Amino acid sequence: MLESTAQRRGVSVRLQEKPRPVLSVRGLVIEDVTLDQPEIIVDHLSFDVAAGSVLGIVGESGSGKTLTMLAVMGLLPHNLSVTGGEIWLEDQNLLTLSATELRSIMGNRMTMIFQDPMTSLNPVICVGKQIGEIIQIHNPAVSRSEVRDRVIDLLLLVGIPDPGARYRHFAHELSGGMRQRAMIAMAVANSPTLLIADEPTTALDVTIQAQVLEVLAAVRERTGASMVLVTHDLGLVAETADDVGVMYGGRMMEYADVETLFAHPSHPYTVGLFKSLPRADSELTELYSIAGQPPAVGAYPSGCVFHPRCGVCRGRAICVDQEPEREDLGGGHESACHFVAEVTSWAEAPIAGRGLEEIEPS
Amino acid sequence: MKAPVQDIQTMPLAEHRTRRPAWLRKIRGSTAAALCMLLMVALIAFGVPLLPSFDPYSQNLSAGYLQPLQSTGGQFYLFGTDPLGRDYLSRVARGTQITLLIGFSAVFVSLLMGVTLGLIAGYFRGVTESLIMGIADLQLSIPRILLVIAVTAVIGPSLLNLSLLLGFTSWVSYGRVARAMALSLREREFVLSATTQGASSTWNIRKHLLPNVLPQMVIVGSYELGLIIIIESSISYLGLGIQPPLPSLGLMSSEGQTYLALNPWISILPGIAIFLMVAGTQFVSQQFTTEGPSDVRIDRTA
Repeated sequence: MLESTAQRRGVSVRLQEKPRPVLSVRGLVIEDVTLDQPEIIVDHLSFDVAAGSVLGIVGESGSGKTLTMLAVMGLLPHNLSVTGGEIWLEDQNLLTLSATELRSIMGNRMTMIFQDPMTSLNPVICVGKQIGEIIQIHNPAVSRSEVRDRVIDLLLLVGIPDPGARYRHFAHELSGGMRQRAMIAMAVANSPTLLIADEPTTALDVTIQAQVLEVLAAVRERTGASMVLVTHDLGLVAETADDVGVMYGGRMMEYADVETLFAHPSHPYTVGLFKSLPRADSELTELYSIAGQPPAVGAYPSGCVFHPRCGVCRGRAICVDQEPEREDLGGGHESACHFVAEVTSWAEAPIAGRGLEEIEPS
Repeated sequence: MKAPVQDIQTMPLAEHRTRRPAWLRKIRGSTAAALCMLLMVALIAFGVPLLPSFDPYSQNLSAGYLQPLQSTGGQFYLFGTDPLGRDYLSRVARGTQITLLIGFSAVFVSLLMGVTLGLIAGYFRGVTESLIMGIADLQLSIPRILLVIAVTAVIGPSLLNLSLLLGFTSWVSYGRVARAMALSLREREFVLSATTQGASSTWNIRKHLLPNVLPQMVIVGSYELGLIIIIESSISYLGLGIQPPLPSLGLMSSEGQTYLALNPWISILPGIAIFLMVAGTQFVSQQFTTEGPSDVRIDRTA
């Protein structure tokens, strides 16, 4: 049964005509294999990152965003493992590669930028040397002086002033923004084709966020890298991403290009996320919030995982019994909801500000 | 008339402390004493051999059992002579040199072994860890000195054997500290980050774990040095360590026992040398442990 679902969802129509995507995740299943009854955490997830584009992945905490990215990097925690699907980086299925082959790709063709630049830099090695190491790992033949020159170039590229002096500085001597820039320099040291940024600006304050985003944009322009941007920040997605995937409960709920998604959100969860944003142009006494909590791993609801919190469902049997498939609404806009047609009218209903009363303990 | 209490309150914070330079203020009294001890050790071990009268081997049977500060035959003996009439100052100096040589090489061997095994155990975990730490526990359950004596009895005593043996039997303290640190370091994000950049396990251990544990290893080493000196002296005292004619502090104090009534200095002087080395390294290592490189110091005067 699992197999047939995989086949059904694994095939995506919009893929075939377009050029090969840089990253293509097909029907990815992640399970906790240490339990007596293996628990599915990410279920048949599929998405593509087109060459040179940015895919934003949004969703509440615990919806499986980071886990999916770790799976792509082959760095899942020991209790979890990928039990189905394919992860294609250009022409290679990453799941079939050996550890050594994967290592030669990581940091070279595919890199990750982490959330907290303080903990991601080794406190006892100066930043210049740390960035240089990434070059040396993949190009052992490059001479020390050449590595140094390239590192200084990289530091300049990410906008670190006086790179010659900064080369010798340690993580604690740099500000948060500088550290994140250093992390970005590390990530692009070998001109990767794919950057995975896991909440790259969450640990930074707003002005620094803007600067770091500019740096990321500049770096991508120079290297032509594609990017997956995992974030909570819808504003960041609107500004940076070309396509957006909305994840909930380990599933992709809606998938569209950024204009379509923000103009016509077609899944109750996406609408809920938008409504939860404070807006300067409306007067509300209370901010809307999606009722309830995201499901805990191992306690995913039956049918549509979102149905207990959904404003459109209203207890209809099909939502409780049957999991909706992602349907193409045209133009590559996909949504996994039984009642897509009702979403728009529900979204426009004046329910804002009512959210807090709806919360019930789950 | 002002009360002295008020005086202190109105003074700037830095001024009612002893006015010593900053680097001196961080050094404790015990450490200062220890540094003096180590200076004396250095003088004996490296200063004395420069003297023209330095000669730890020639015997002069007519000038045996000489008390310190006596001269005979136109030569002044600061430490006196041993039963064979050899210059005791030279013998203590050479003995100290040998003890230091063994101490440092044993510390080096055990540090190398302990760091390697400890980091491997802590980084890879699983069976590797159980195996390495199992050996460590096993080794800890056998008294180190007994182990060294047993093996020396089989392979024979020599300078090299003793250094290696003391090294191989002392890696556990380094191994345990290194493993404990590796356990926490391997979960740090900078290791994960290096892994996502394609770093292999060896690379991570060498480039990211090792520099983080090295300062602590040096501290353990400074503490272990004293212990190793004591063990080496005990083994030499029992006659299983350094073999004559090489002078060894342990053996020398053991020989002096026979002549305790005649000339107690034959036993006492090597004892003092051992004491200076052990106490000196221990106090310095104590300063390391409390104000070592891992410690964040707050300069209140700043």
